[in-house]
Amino acid sequence: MINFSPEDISAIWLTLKLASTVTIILLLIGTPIAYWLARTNSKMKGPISAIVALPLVLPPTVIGFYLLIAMGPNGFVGQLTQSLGLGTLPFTFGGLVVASVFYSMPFVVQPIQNAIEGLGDRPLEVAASLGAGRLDQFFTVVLPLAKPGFITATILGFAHTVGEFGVILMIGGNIPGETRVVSVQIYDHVESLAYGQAHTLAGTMVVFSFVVLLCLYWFQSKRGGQWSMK
Amino acid sequence: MTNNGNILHDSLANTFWSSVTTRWRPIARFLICVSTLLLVTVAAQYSHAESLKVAVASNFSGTMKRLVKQFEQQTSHNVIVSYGSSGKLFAQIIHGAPFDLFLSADQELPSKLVALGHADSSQQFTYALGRLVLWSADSNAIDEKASRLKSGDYTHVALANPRFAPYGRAAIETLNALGLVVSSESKLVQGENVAQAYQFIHSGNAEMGFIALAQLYGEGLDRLDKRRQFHGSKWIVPDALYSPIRQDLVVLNRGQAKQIAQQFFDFMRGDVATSIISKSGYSVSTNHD
Repeated sequence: MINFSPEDISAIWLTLKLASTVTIILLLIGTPIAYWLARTNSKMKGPISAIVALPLVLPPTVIGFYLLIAMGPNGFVGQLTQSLGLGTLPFTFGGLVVASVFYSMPFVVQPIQNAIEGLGDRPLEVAASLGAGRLDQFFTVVLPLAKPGFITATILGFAHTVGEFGVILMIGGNIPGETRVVSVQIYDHVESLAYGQAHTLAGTMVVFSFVVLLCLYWFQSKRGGQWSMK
Repeated sequence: MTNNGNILHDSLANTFWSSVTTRWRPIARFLICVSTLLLVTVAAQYSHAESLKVAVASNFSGTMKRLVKQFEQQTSHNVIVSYGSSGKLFAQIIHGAPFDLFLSADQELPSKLVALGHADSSQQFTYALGRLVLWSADSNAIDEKASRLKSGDYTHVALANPRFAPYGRAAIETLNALGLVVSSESKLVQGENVAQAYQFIHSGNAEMGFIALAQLYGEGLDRLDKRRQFHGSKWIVPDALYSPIRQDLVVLNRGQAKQIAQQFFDFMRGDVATSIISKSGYSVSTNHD
């Protein structure tokens, strides 16, 4: 049977905790951004879309390198968190959350945005003519109709955070129970030539990722394909 | 004859271009240019008859650059160097990576390569002894007794991962030898290697940390220091506090038949190389074993 060491189990729990926290935060802040991007004609739509999509093209080394500097004691994020009495973010769980929110943002925003764009103007116009306010429109019309987009966003946001490695390696400091997630733990096993332990964890990751994606595609084919990466 | 050739060439070219629609023509031209350029570059690479491929542990990268410059001047041969963590390079070598020589950050991995039949024990020796230093980007953080480390007055101390990085192991040995029990694991932040530990300290995220003394001799660092007047402070850890960090090199099977590999092996044992290495923050063992 699969034999995890206590360190492996701690890394798995930490990873699940990180992915859940990040997914919830992303749904809360990603939804307004996606809604705005889907409905706006503003000139800012291009630049904002580009910023959201940046983590898709930037290598994790670039993101990790700049986050380490920005969140450090001399960086602007670091100065802000210090003045708020929070200390600095690198080497903490909170730091990983902030980094992952940025890093997984496009995987949550884009499916929701596509789903809302797919609705068209008509349902919202009808709702408005029936006297529904903006918030009312969102909760009674957009949310139920764009539900598949939200579910896709949740699955992708969660899975992408579980699979994160480069950024965490660069800002985490490899602290057990705090920043040593599964991907980093696997890397440690491989580097110290403990290939057996590496296989156990890595194999689990492959199975987990396969099952998650299988659920996603099964769900999409049932719903008639709502999601595509722009 | 030439005429015929031209006609043939023209008609071939015409068929090619007519098959490419007008819209894609500029892109096709661009692709042809780029692939020609690539071919020429690749061909130029291969025209160097004897080149040496060396895998080198990251902590030695600054020193290696100086050594290669010297060696290339002496012999006019070409040395191609790949840097990485010793563990990763080891894994690449046993899976057939095309290296002639391996400069490890420890003694264990070269010996393992010999045991696995990827190298010969007669061509292994200790080219450098690593020296550990406690370093801070803050010029007042570390005094000659390292009192701030001893009093535990810090939030983070950085080190390389002690599980596989020799300098990380030496750092833990030092803390133990000093009788310092780190109050909480979250105070010890680990980089995957000394280069990352350096980055944690340099960016100010860790107040201090253990790195290789050689890292403070880099050329890039000198430039940065002058511009920002950013010297930091350091404490060179006494040798007695940690077991020697023996860095071994070994000629791999691929390099056995190459004259240039033997030349580089001899160069590394010679006085010129030894003096460069000892000026770069390493000790050099006197007995070549």
